[in-house]
Amino acid sequence: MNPSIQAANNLARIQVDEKLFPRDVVVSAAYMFLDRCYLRLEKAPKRHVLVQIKGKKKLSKNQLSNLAEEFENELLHQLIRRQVAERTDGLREVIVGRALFSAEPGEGEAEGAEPQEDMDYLDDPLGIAVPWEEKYKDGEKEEKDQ
Amino acid sequence: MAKKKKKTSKAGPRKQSATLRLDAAFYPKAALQKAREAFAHLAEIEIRRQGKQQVIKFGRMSAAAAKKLPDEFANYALSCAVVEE
Repeated sequence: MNPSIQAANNLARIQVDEKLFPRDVVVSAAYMFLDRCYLRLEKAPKRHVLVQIKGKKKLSKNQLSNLAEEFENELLHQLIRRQVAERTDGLREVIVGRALFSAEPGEGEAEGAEPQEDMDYLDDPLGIAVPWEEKYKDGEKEEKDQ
Repeated sequence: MAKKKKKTSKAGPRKQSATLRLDAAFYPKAALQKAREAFAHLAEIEIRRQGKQQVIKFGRMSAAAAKKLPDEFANYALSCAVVEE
């Protein structure tokens, strides 16, 4: 995967073996560089992908070489991300499934709570619907008396 | 009789043209269409499939746009391809 640097054209070219880095890994790595440089991807012989990296501004040979090396690192990063995602696929499904299941109405009730099937929606056993003034009217009087 | 004004933008007259060739395996048609919509105000863009390549012709670009437009177009199309995957 030796990058070839063409400083005159402000270009670095890398041939990536698709057997080592699948195509979606190469595309994901390229995506991470879109804000820093211009990228072009194309098929190359022997199941390779040709990645052309062009500086948005004029870059020196060293800078182009560094950019190419950073791209190679990003390829590894994306490959590992993919492998971890594949390995933890089942676990993620379980976590999301559990989260959705526990969010279903009726399932999240506290243990020991009595079913309140006979209640009407107009019932107010805790007195929540009673206005504050009505509820504490007498209490205020008592405080004043004391 | 009033003379017709030539169509110019702040960046100068729009006379430049360019051609961009992209690998169809990496740049699907839908992504290229999205990019075309995004850059339609800067140039006349024509997309055509030619074998395994997508050929994009830019016409009526200003000189300022011509320097960057094909590269920016390719970057944008690639990002659309990733997002739509």
